[in-house]
Amino acid sequence: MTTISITETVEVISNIAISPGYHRITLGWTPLEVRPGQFVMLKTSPTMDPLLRRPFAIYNIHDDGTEILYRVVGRGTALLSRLKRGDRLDVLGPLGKGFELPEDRETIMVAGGMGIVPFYMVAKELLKMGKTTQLIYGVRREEELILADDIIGLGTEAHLVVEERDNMLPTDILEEMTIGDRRVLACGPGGMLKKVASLCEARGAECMVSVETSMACGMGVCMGCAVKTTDGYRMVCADGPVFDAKELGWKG
Amino acid sequence: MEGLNTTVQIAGGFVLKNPVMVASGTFGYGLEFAGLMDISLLGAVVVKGLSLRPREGNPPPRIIETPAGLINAIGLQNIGVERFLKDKLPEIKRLGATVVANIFGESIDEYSEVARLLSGAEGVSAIEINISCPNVKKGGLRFGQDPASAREVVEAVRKSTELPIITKLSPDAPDLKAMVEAVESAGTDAISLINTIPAMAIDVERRRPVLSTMTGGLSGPAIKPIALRLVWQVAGFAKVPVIGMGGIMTGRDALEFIIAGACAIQVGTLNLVEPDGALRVIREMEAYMHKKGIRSIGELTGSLVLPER
Ligand SMILES: Cc1cc2nc3c(=O)[nH]c(=O)nc-3n(C[C@H](O)[C@H](O)[C@H](O)COP(=O)(O)OP(=O)(O)OC[C@H]3O[C@@H](n4cnc5c(N)ncnc54)[C@H](O)[C@@H]3O)c2cc1C
Ligand SMILES: Cc1cc2nc3c(=O)[nH]c(=O)nc-3n(C[C@H](O)[C@H](O)[C@H](O)COP(=O)(O)O)c2cc1C
Ligand code: FES
Repeated sequence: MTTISITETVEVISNIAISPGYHRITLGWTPLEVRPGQFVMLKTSPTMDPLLRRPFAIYNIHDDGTEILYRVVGRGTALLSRLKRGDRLDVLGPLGKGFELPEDRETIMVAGGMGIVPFYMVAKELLKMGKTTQLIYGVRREEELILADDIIGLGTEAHLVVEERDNMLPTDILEEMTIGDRRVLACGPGGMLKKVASLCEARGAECMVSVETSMACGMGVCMGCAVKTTDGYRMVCADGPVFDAKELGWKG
Repeated sequence: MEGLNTTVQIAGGFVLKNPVMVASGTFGYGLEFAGLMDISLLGAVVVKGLSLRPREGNPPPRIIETPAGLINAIGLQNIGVERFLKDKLPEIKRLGATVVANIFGESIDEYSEVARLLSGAEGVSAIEINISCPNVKKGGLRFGQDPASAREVVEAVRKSTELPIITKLSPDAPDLKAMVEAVESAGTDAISLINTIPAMAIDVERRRPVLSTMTGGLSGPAIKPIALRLVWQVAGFAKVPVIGMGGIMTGRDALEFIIAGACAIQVGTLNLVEPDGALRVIREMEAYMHKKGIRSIGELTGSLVLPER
């Protein structure tokens, strides 16, 4: 199940703000094979500062290139947002193990904030497999909802929650659903992932979570991105980022 | 490149095809890079620090980026020497790499046992003794700060192996000259430096240390000028060959270390950012030699021109 990853300098095809602070960059780069949930490491500056590449989930792949959705949170993402059409950027990927989509059961996607990113490709894959697509999406602020437009455009049944407006969390919606025979796929803030995991545990549902840690190499060599599992420390970049919630030992 | 002699003899039969090695802990066990580059083109691959038994490493967070640098507190997570010999070494050899095994122990006995196991195996070209890891409670830096303890470690390893020994020094040793003398008299064949520099970062919002271990080791371009000064000093009094490292990102960086007196260099953090960066460093060094009409890398070692008084 390992895909071959490469490092390459590629051209920026477009880089646009889709909402204040949220951008979509399209790279002139089409890897041979990508699984939903895999990521890339981008060198946000050709200089030595920032030194390390930054990890980003792959949003979409098409014949002309690869799309990444990102939120500007610091120096690296600010530099990324300044790139223009025709600029060049160093990309390493695709990396990690993505979501495994089950043949034998239906799924529910649960996303918080930027955690929506990997699910566009998950939804496309599910449709290809002839499955239904169901999403619960929670955001802090209303302007983030735009990130779900594409996935809703695929015909996904979406439950949208704006935390401040609706005074509820995505897990409140999950709680009202019958999920015992499902596989829940989740990506978002750590607190949300833990709640989703304990809910699944209580209901007997399978639960796969995509987790985030700081990374240096993204390819399993520095041992910097460790996460505690029932089997000792494992690397989020190489053994994940998607883990079975049970492996992470998250319980209630 | 034609007509250039880039080979470096470190000790006896331990000869590098070029002076650029990849540093321990930044290149895994070599195999992770196989799909990205031809690892047989490297001077040598120094594998992740090996201990007698597998080590879990430190709790996260283990890394934090700082200006032009990286602080790590991995805690020597590794699969242990036996699994290395069984699962990794044959593969790395098959790919044609020259392999240096970096070793670590919590006690002197552990160091010598790891060395013994490694020398019984086919395919290890040299042993690099890490007496300078800032990220473990026992062993590591303790041996690296006290010349008498360092001597004991190297003597014990010397007794248990015929392989060439490189001793890797800490930049934090209070008396580097005493340290070098101690490990030389214990029979080391070469010295490498520097390991990471003890360092720290604080999360101001939460008023907590960023790393789980509070402090870690700084690497990357930020440490290069310090590393260069230390390599230059040590090369001034060391009798054995010196292998320099610390923040090397380009061929010119590497040449600075060579001119300062190193016979070979290692690149570390660069591998994490640019997986095939070490090969670029080799090409850039060769281009310099070509341009300057230097035929053999040995001509450059220690060729620093001192200012006139
Ligand atoms: C597997 C994986 C996939 C990811 N996918 C995406 C994606 O699709 N889109 C996207 O926008 N981001 C994604 N991220 C997060 C992204 O990598 C970080 O936002 C980015 O590295 C920040 O870089 P910076 O230089 O701008 O910020 P820095 O200057 O490094 O940090 C600025 C601030 O942001 C915080 N920060 C740094 N990293 C993260 C993080 N991982 N999560 C939350 N806060 C962080 C820091 O603590 C700091 O307060 C992903 C991370 C991982 C591990
Ligand atoms: C993530 C990481 C892990 C490391 N692990 C080891 C190790 O296991 N053994 C060792 O001797 N040095 C280890 N080092 C130190 C490097 O080998 C090297 O001495 C140091 O990083 C300085 O070189 P650089 O600035 O080129 O990285 C590690 C460094 C990093 C960044
Ligand atoms: S980021 Fe280096 S091992 Fe995961």
